[in-house]
Formats: sequence, C-alpha cells, structure tokens
Amino acid sequence: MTAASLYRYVLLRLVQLVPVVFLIIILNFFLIRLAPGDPIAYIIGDAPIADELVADLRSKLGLDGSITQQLLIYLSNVAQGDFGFSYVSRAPVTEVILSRLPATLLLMITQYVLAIAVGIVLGVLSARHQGSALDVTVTAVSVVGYALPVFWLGQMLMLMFSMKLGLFPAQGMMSLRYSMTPVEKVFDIAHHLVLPALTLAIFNLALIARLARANMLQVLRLEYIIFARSKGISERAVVYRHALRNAVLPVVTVIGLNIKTLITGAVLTETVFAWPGLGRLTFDAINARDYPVLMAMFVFVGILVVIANLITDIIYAWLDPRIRLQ
Amino acid sequence: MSEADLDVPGTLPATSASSAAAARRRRVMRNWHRFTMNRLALFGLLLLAGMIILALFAPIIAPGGPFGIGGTRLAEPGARHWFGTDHIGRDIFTGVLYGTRTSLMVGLLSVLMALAIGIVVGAVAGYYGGRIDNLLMRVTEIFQVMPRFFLALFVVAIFGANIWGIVFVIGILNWAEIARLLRAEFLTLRERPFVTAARAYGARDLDIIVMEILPNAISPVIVAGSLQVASAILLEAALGFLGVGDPNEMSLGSMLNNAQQYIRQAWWTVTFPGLALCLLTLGIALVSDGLNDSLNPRLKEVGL
Amino acid sequence: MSGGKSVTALSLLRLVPMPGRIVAGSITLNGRDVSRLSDDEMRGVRRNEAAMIFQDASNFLNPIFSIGDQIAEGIADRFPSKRERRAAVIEALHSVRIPDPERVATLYPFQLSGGMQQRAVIAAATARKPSLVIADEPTTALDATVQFQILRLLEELQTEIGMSLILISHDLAVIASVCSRVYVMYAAEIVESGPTRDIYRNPAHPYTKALLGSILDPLEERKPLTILEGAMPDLSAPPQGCRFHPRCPAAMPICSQAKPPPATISSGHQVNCWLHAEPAVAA
Repeated sequence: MTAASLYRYVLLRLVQLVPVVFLIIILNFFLIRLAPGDPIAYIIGDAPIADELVADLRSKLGLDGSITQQLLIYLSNVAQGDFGFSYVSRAPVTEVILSRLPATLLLMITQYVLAIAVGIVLGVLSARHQGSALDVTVTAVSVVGYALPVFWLGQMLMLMFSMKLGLFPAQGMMSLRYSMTPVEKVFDIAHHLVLPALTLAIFNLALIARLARANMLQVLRLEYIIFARSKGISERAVVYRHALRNAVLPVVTVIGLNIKTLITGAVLTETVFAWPGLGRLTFDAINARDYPVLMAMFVFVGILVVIANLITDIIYAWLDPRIRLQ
Repeated sequence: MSEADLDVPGTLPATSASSAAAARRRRVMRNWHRFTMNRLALFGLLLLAGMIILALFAPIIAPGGPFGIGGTRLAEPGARHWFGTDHIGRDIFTGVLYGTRTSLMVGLLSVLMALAIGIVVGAVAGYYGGRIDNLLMRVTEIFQVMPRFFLALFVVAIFGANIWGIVFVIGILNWAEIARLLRAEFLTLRERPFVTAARAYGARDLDIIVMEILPNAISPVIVAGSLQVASAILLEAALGFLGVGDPNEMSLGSMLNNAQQYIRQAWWTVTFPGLALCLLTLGIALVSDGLNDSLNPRLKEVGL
Repeated sequence: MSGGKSVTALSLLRLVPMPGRIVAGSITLNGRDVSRLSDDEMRGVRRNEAAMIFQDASNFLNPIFSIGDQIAEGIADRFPSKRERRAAVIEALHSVRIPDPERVATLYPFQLSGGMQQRAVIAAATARKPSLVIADEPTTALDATVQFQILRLLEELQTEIGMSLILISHDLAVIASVCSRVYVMYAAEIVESGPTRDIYRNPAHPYTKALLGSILDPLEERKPLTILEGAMPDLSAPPQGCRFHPRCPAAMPICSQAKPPPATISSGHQVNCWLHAEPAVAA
C-alpha cells in the first residue's frame, strides 16, 4: 500500500513538472531570436566555418522559414536530445554535456553527503547544548557562511591548503601521470576532490546547521517528545528517532529549494579549481562564445533542478506519511 | 467602533491624519529600539554604513580612478599601495573602493526594480484574487523554478555585458519572490475588519491597497528585499568572476577573476576584493536578520 | 501545557521539560522515592511501573510514526522477538476496544479520530501493564459521548490489569464518576482530601465549596452559581500563609500569616484550613 501510494505521488509530481521544462525550452529559443544580429551567429559562434556549411545549417534549422516553423524544428530536435553542434568542441552539444556530467555529480554528491551529515550533527548538538561554546560557534559560523561568496571561499582555501601548506592539489581532477593502478587513481581523484567539495560543503553546511538547530529546538519542546519519554525509552531514541526525524523535514524542503543556488555554487567552484564538470564547461563556453553549449546548459540545468526537486519531494514524502498518504 | 476592533492601530480611516502619523512614528521608534537592542544587527549596520561612506567618497579618497595604472605590477601591500597592485599595476585599494560602489549600486537598483514589479504584482494578485491571481501566480511560479543564474549568464552573454543590463536582469529575476510574499500577506489582510471598514466608507481600491493594506503587509517584504540586496551583489560578483561583467565598471567579481591566475604569486590580489565582498554581504545579512527580529518578533523565539 | 495541574502530573514521572526541575518534595511509588532515582532508574520506572495519559492525544502522538510503532517501542525490551511484539501491540489495541487492531497498527495518527487517538495513547500506556497510570485531563479534548466511552475504558482497564489510576481533572462530574478518592489542589498545594462521597457531600474547605458551587445543575435552573473573585496567584511568588486567603470568602487574620495545619473531618477526610484547625493549634 505504501509503495503504491508513493509511486502515484511521484507520477503526479512528474506531470506537474513537465510544463516548467517546456517553458524553459521555449524561453531559450526566443532569447536567441531576440538577441541582436543573426541567430546563426549564435549557433556557430566564432568558429571558422565554410559558407556552404552555414547555408546548409540554415536550411536544416529552418532559419529562412517562419518563427513557428523554427520553433517546431527546435522543439523536435530537443525532444530527440539534439541540442545542436558545438563548433568549438567539434562535437554534438549533448555529448559534450554528458561527458562532463559525472565530474559534477561526483562533486555535488560528495559535498551533499558531507554538508548534510556534518550540518545536521552540528545543528542537533548545538540545539541540545543551547548556549554552549559549540552552539555559539555554530551560530556564528552559519551567519558568516551564508554571507561568504562561494568562489572566494574556494580561492581562500586554495591559497591556504594548496599554495601555503601544499596539502592538496589546486587544479583539476587527476594528476597528469599515465601509469596509475585503479586504486591509485581513486585516491588521486579523492585527493583532488577535497578542496572543491569542502568549499561547497562549507557554504551548504552553514544553512543546514542553522536550520537543523532551529527545528530541533522547536521539536524538542513538543508534546510527543514528552510522550516518547514517558514510555521509558532511552534519551538517545527520543532525540534521534522521535525528534530528529521531525526536525529534518523542513531541512529537506530547504535543501530542495536551494538546489539552484548549489548548482550555481558548483559552477563557480569548478571554475576556481578547474574541476572538469559542467561548471567549468560553462565558464569555457562563455570565453569561447560557444553559444550552443550555453543554451543547452540553461535547459539542462533547468531539467536538473526539476529532477532534484522531484527527488527532494520523494524523500520528503518517504519521511512524512502525511504527505505520502494524502 | 473602537480601535481594538480594527486590530491595527493607526490605520483607522476616521482618525485624524496627525494621530495616525503619531502612531506610525511610535511604531517606527519601537522597531528601531528592538533593532538596536540586537548588537549583531547594530554591528552589521555600522559595517554597512562604513562601506557605503567609503564607496560614496571613492572619487575623493582615490582620485586616480579604478583603471589608472599607478605602480609596478603585482606590488606587495605597503605604504604606497595599501592593498598592493594587480597584474597590470592598478592599485587594489582603489579597485576595491570602486568595486564596492558598483556592487552597492547593482544591489540596490536591482532590488528596487524587483520591489517595484513584485509589489504591484503581489498586491494586485492578493487583493483581487480569482482569475487574475491565478494567472499572475503561474507566471511567478515559472520565474521561481527557473535556474536564474544560468538565465542571467546566458542573457548577459548574448546581449552583451553592460551594467544597466545586469541590473535589469537581476531585477527581473528577483521580483517573483517579493510578489509571492506580498500576495500571501494581502490574502490574509484583505478580509480584516479595517479593510472592510474602509470599503464601507467607499474608499477606492487603490487607496485601500496603498493606504490600508500595504503598510501592514510590507514587513516581510522589507526583510526579503534586504536579503535580496546581498544575493544580488553576490550574483553580480559571480557574473564578474565568470568574465561577463561590464568591462567599463570596476567589479569585485572581475577583480577576483583576474586574480585567479596570480593566487600563487600575489595573495593580496585575491584576498582584499573578496574580503570587501564578504564584509558587504555579511553587513547586509546581519542588518536583515535584525530587521527580521524587530519586524517579525514572533519568529525570533524559534531561533530562525 | 502551562497549568499547575499538568506540571504536577509531569513531575510525578519527572517529565517536566528543561529548564523546569523539581526543587522540593518527594514522590514515592511502590516504596521508592522517585525523585532520588538516577535517570536510568527513572526510565525503568516509566517502562515498568508507571505510565501516563495526556490531555490532547493528537499532540502527544508523533505524527510520522505508525500507531503500531509507537506502542511497540515501549515494550521492545519485554518482547525482543518481532512477532511477539507485534502480537502484543495488537493485543494492546484490542484491549482498548479499537476495532480492527491489525489495520489500525499500520495507520498514522492523522488517519485516526480524536477518540481513536486517545485510545491509542492509552494502549501505548497500558501495553506495559503498569501498576500506576497517571491520566492528565484524558477526556477534555473529546466529544461528550467519546468522553464517556474513554472513562468507562479506564475503569475497566483498572480491574482488568489491576492498575491504580490517578486522574487529574477539573471536571467534577468526571471525577465523581471514576474516582474513589479525591485530592483537591489549589495553587499547587493539596487543600482537602478524602473519599469522593465525603468530599462531594460534605466539603470542608472554602475552595472545595466554591468549586462544587460552580457546577451547573440541569434540574435547578435558578440556583445561583458561586463565582470566585480574583485570579490564580503567581506560583513563582505565592501568597503568604494559606495560598487561598486572598480569594477566600471566609478569610481570617491568621490565614495570611501561617500555613493552616491538617485537620481531620472524618475517617480519611482531611482538610488544610484554619476554619477547621483544632483550637489548641490555633491558639
């Protein structure tokens, strides 16, 4: 029964999210048409291309036809996963983006695990020991952490731990050595991952710790906590089973709402550390005027945000029966 | 009908203008008092005031202008260049002053724009409700789900980086949050007795919206708006950092972008502009926290 | 949860949330002073000897755990095997007359009515077969008919599992129908105690008299209601002497100076009031 209702819920949410993605795609199309100059200039960018090829491309995209025709061609291309060709990278845009996706996912997942685990633990501890040195520190750090520009935080960490202390590599995802065993390779990537993941995690952790603390304080005063205690179960079970799971619910919501900010943070962090993911790809695309990649990134991130929102909705529903069973 | 029945003091249509003004003044004083009780918020306000003064007087403090080349390349911080010089010999202290000026300008103007659009949309949607509310809320929803940073990046990249364009884009991307907040307030306030009373007196919709509801609905909008100034500043800096800032305006983000290649040789090129950015947003965040505590005291208890 | 009654109830099992604490007095249960036990021993008492039922069940059930889980966790140590535990949960739900207990065990609090929620709370409390159940206004949040059912249930459980019941209530009708012995409290102090019949027929303390005078009697429409002037005292700075004297219609000079000694009205019926103090003590 539970599994079935969750399934139905996910389907419902999916249907609700389709129009948003559709609108992002349409907006993307019209922005290029609104931009000054010939749309073809944005599709080719600065790449040197023969005139006949340009003419070919023009007819393929229907640029000589009406705007509706162009839109239909664009939509049918996008529906088939075809976001055009990057003349800078000399590869289909979809291919370029997908090849960069794993690096970004690795970075995002690592930082999420770190930020959520540490953030919740810090939040719970500072709520349970309200007014302690730890509590004051966590509160202060979370205020400052919220105001920090994430790319500057990355630069400062790089300056400190890479330049001055030489503990971690400053750039890239792998050392430029050829002969590495698979195990060495994993450690090498992990070594490169530390600073960028830490940068994003600190930024994210500030918010999570602050929220977890506030919610925990609120939940610990509620009646059902007294009832749980009256059953004679251990204090640990009261705090971590009864209180924490309720206190985490709003944190899940905020993590979901904040995913856009986090993807932005990832773009900036990847740029700082030359991490070869989607963010760095965006940065390079800007510099090379690789517009097809930029356009596709906009749609792609839109889809990513929608998927991420869906995942947080599912987690929320899984944690809260009131949502799941409605 | 007593004032208590109308449940918001100072907005009674029949009271004389002077007593309404006095009540408003009392309320402002009470909020100011609450605000100053909060030492962190006061610290933030001083920090912010200091930076605003420095930014305003930048042309007097540093008459050379931000792009003037006044020294050797990558000179260390010292008596001549407090914050050192950058890779082409520009004074970083001067750059930070002008960059702060740009940040503040972008932050304030874009949020003013977001407020202007957001307040109109939110007030209309919340006051009239029904179909127009439905339509406006669909539009704001789309703006809220949109990956704003990428849209801004994309727009600035294809339409060209120009400071007014950046202000416009950030403003366009931020109004939806304001509109939603204000709409929610309007929805609850429009049924209150003091609004019904004003309607019974035959007041026009516009007067009711502006004179009766808006003053009581504006607190959360002010708090959200002040936080948006910080996020707008960070967004502008991020655009600059990715290399799509206005090349004719000094920007803290662009300074950090230039510094990226010289971190190893010249720590000062990256430290000072970032610190300025950080203090600016910290000041705003603290002030906004203080505003939140003094304008919405109920939330304080929870520790949010 | 601010009233003196509820805090009294909570402190019996040392459940007063921080920063509250017990400063004076002792609580004796089955021959042990509960206020001196360690936290671990206290948990043992809550697990094995005494349980509690609360006023508004909907707030006292954790919204995101199933009813079955919330009953099961209290008896986990007694029934380590999952199957036995489940059987015990069903049995507990059955004992509080919940229909279809197998299904209800899988439901969440928001899926139950107020009366059913209160039954579930009672099931969680009585599943451990405690020797004492403390019920704090267990029926106030419920409809009149449901109130009656819950009260009958509590009475039946008393004999079924041989538990004692402390009922904390301001509802005099409820008390009269359930309790054998009554303790009247004012401002966190006992002012009068005795067999229910004696208290209702022959109240000795002015506060008890005022309380009984405030009952609406449906048969006597014209009877004037007694209304007490004034408000409850601030318990952080209670009045000197008898705590009731500022509002007492029969106050004497001595009432504001010294605490009244206990006086016996009849066998088992005691009152703390200067009106009934023996002359030797009064002088």
